[in-house]
Amino acid sequence: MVGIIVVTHGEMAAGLIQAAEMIVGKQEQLSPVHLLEMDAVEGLMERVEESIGQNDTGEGTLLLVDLPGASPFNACARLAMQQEGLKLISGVNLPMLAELLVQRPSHTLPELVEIAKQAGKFGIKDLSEILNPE
Amino acid sequence: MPVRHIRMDNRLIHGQILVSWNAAIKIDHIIVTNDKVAADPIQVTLLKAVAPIGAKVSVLSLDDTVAYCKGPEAENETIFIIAKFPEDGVELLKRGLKMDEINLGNQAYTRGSKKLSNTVFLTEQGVKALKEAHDMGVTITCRMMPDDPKKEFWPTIEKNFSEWVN
Repeated sequence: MVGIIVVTHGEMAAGLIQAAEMIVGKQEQLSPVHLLEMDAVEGLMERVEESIGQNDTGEGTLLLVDLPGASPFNACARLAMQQEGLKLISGVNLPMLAELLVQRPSHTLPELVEIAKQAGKFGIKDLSEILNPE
Repeated sequence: MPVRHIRMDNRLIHGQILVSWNAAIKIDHIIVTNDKVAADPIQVTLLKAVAPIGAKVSVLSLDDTVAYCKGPEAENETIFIIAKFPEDGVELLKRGLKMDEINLGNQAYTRGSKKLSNTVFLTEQGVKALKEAHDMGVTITCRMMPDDPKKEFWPTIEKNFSEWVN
């Protein structure tokens, strides 16, 4: 099974994982990594690499980060550009993470990348548009 | 059988159903059934608005649910029924909908109810309804997630709620 690591500013990653587990149940091969105020990008890269070591069983790892271009993204991008079997998606949200977790046992890393993009966007809804479709 | 699962859940449609149950069962049609909910336009609109990709949502009275599930449209569908209370699910059975299992998903605490599990509290009317279902040969389960075991809960209910069973 593909490993998933959520890398965010502050402690959002742990909170997001806790929320997702309320919906889909307790998970394996899923870890948070947090960027704290005193962190350097290099230190963050080391902790992400360490987490990959703990979560990757040879089927690859999906790195989910919050903000494109920010430090969690930059650190993960440098790793993903150097290593095989690493994919990086930004804009992580609960619809994306929950859907990935239920689809993960039966999908490959490239398939999960597509599922993440679709579910992340599908989760953004404007109630006014739902109630008054054009 | 078009009706693949019948869940008693007073939170109606929520995250566990949209994500976990939908992935496990590949639902075509979620039917929320309860006479009061079906008559409340705001609830109906909101419930229909949150349909997951690939599934439609209907909110029907008990009679309409039974009629729909026995009708021709249901034949090619995989239907997931969410009944608000055990009484609703058992009423479907008594009005002629065949079922093997009634699953107690979430039943929040209400005044006078007693705890069966962390997420299921039962009222006297609920227990009496479930007894009727048990007597008609239906398995009573208590599965929050699709991979929770299909364990028969009737003996536990009979023991913990003995004052309401007889």
